[in-house]
Amino acid sequence: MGQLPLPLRFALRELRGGMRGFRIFLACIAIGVTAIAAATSMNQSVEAGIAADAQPLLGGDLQARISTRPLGAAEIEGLQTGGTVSRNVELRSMARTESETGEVLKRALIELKGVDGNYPLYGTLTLDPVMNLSDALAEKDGVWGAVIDTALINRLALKVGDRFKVGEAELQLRASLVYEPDRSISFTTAGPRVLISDGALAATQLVRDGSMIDYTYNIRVDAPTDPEAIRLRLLDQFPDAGWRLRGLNQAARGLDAFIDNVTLFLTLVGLTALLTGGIGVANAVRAHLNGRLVTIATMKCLGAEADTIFNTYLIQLSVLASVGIGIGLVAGAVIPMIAAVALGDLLPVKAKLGIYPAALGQAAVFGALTAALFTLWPLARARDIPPVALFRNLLAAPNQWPCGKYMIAVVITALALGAFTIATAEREDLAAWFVIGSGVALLLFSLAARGVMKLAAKLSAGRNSATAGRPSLRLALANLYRPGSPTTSVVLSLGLGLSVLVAIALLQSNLDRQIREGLPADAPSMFFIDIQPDQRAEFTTLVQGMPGVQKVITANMIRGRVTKIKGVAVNDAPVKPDSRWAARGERGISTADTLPEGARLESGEWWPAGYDGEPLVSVDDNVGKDFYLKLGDTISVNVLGREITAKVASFRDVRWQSGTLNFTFIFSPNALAGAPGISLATVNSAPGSEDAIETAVLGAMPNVTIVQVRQALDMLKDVLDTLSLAVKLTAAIALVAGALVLAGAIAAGHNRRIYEAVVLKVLGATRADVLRAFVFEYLLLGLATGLIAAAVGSLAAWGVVDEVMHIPWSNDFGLIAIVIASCITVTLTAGFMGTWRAMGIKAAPLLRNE
Amino acid sequence: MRESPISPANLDATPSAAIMLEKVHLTLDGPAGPVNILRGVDLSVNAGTALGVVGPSGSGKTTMLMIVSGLERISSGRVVIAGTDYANMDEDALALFRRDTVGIVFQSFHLIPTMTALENVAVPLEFAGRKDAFDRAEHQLRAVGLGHRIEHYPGQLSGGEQQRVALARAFAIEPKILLADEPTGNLDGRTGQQIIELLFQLHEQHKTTLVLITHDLKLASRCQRVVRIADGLIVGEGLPA
Repeated sequence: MGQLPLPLRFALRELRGGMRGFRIFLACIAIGVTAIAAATSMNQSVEAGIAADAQPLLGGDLQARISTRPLGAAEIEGLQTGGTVSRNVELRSMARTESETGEVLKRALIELKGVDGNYPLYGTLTLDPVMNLSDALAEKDGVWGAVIDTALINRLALKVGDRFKVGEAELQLRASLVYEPDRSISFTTAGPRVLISDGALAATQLVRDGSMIDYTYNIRVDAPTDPEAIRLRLLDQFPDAGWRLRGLNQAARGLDAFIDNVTLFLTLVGLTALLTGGIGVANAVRAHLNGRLVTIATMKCLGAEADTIFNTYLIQLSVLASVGIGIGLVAGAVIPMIAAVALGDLLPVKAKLGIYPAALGQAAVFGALTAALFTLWPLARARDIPPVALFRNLLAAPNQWPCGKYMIAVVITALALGAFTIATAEREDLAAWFVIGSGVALLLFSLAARGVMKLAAKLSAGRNSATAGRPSLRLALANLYRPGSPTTSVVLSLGLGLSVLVAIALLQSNLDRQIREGLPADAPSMFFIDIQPDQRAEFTTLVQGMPGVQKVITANMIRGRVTKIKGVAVNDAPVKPDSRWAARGERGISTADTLPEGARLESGEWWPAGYDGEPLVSVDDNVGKDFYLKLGDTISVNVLGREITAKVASFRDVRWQSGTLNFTFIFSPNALAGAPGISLATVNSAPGSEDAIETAVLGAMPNVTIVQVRQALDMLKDVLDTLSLAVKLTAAIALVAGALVLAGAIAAGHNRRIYEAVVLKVLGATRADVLRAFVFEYLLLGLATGLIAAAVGSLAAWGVVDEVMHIPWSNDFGLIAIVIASCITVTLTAGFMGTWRAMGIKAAPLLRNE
Repeated sequence: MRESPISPANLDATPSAAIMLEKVHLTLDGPAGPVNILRGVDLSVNAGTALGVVGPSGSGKTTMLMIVSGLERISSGRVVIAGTDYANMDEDALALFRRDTVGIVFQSFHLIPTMTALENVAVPLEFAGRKDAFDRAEHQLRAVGLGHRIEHYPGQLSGGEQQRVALARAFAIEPKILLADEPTGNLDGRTGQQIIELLFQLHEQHKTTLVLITHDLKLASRCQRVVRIADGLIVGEGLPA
């Protein structure tokens, strides 16, 4: 030991006392590292699982997908040169059961999938009862078979052998569909799956020109050829096919992106926990070093240099941080294994469990950087403790800025943490916003905490202040602003988590309100999709004759995708992020003779009825701005392989919230004349009349898909609930870290509280007086933290609601009151638990042993 | 100055006693078993008297002071302070009694570091509900020569100044009894001398019963009475020969 460098020797001596007093320090680091290690390990095990199961997940070695139309013979022939091809067709429709007289009994929106005899090329479907898929789907006694999700079986009250209808076809339920290997993952599935053969699909008569249908062609590469080479050859051979060709590296359609998003989200959750915990780390370090004031001052008196002091405690804290990181890594490696068992079949892929060193390494770096960031500052301040501290009644290390090189080290560590966060994220833009947001939030909360401390000082100053005659209140206020008070750390840590919670809750309540009440009185109550051109007149006549119907509006819709903006290929044209959705993939475009209801012209003119000149288009004003369009510019769209270029004649302000039929791009009718389309319709009807209208339309036009607004809103609400649950998880983990910091701050103040309790008792304070002082302190701390969190959370929610979503803002004061009350309860409970022990301490032994 | 040894008989003969301890025993649990701290202390001190308590370290001086202040419970015996019997008084009742009757000055001052000198002195007055708490506190601080330091925090004061604040705080409630435990123990000789002068001056002014614990025999000799304590017992009156 004599050979060891001086700081190391001192550090080891200090560590002889064990880890006691460092539990909060360890927990704060471990919780964040655990979350990050678990998230990244889970991601890697799922990705490894996807790679192992890539063929069944994709449905082949290669896949071509196209909307609206099937591939042509030449294209199919091209695919077949690669290997065996299996085609399946997906569309949304309605399933219904009928009485013997043809009356519709039950109905449900479904996702219909028609498959050919080669399906599935890879993997196996699980059916209950177990049977061969081709048997399950075959036509028997003139009735086609179907396998469907259990949820739908229950909704339609079916049992195996029962019959139901989709479109014009009568189908027989042969088995429930337990597992479909190539089903894509989405939060927003329209409905449960109904799987039928392509023969049955034809019998439904739902596959019509212009209908919203997705065609998927899976290819099993039989020859020893690289699927990627085939993919490149096909892209080269059919440059204008309009399909999306996917290889095994994009096997899990939607799932890989979903997993990456979840990982990013969980990593940011972990990072939030680490940052919040970092405040606890800084707190613990400060408390530890304040407890060493005399030791440090004594060592300096005995000739220790400032750097020796710094290095001694740096070594000590590095050892402790490593232990915290180690605990986090072990927990983070184990949690995915437990989660895999607990989640069971929820994930469509089997995660390949194991230890993923890269994932753990990433978490370790996050932990080390965070620990360094929050340790350096108090450590540098401890370094500068003057030897004179021995002779002064110092409560804490002098509140001064560390010297230059340590300030630089803090800044470099912060930048490194930010850069590492961005560099390791799948979505660098999101991560960058997170880093900026965290910095701003920390700054805001620090400023707010300082404001609270200044206010407390002002309120308690002077003999005529509010605290005159109330020594308990004055002591409470003094404890909020004294050197080493827990105010900043509690406001920062607890406030951060709480403000996220407030923001989410307010966002949700605003969205809920918007969904429930925000629809204008003239909003339609039903949507009808896939009305064929020859059914449009019949539909209008039928529905208008129904009791309760107030208004029927129809519009035609054609599927098309934007190919050029101002003559520039869409992939090369500048488009602001908010409107990228409008430039991507197929979407519905429409034609109209007159300006649709719910829209108003911002600039330009609407074309006259019967216009027959150069093709014109009217564009949603916001999208127009994001596409950098002005009147007279051109937009090109590809409709069923044909490119149509139209001149921008007007920009419309579209009230999307009105729920009426509207489109981003509306063309003059002559522009798309002859293109096969379908009609959409909205119906305004008296409440309670929806079911009768739905039954009547479905009876006359089984191909029409019907969405009741109320049901759609319920679905939307489910999606929002799922998302908000996920975000609440962030807030919860951040709050756990915040609670740890609070516990740490209270633990650090334990000796102070005992001292104060004893002195107050000596001066004649009853236990109630002492308790009152502590209750005031934590009440005020909770109130201040709650108020700041409510203000910051409201501001964030308002920003999103008003500036991003553009929906009317309404504050929920009841909710804010609940949050503030909860915050006070948490701080009071934690404070009370910490205080109770101080209350019970007898004065005499302490005074005797002074 | 010299008084005769106390006996139970003359306890009864002193009805005006400000402090009366009768067969006071205190046994505490230590790591190696029960420890007899006090082993039958009898003491009576008349109102207005200055009593010096001397004895070696660990003899039970401070414990006796704690018992008089009501901060320590006795194992057996009887404690009557300013006519009030401590028997059956709970912790809060004792705190209220202390607030109105007993002032204490410690070797380590025991000021509240987050409060100014003025606020520290005002605390017991505020607990007592005195409307003029701050005026009286300021008066007391001026009386101890700290009129220019009233808004200073303890950390900004020297040891002597802190002890003067503690004295001002102890006298602010005009206690019938003032207990001082080595009040100069942490101070240099000159500052200590100033504090002692102040202590006796205030004692004279307020006619307070003073119990002064000290190792300093010269200091003890300034008291009207001196008792010697050793091994948990009062072993005699007057200064050792």
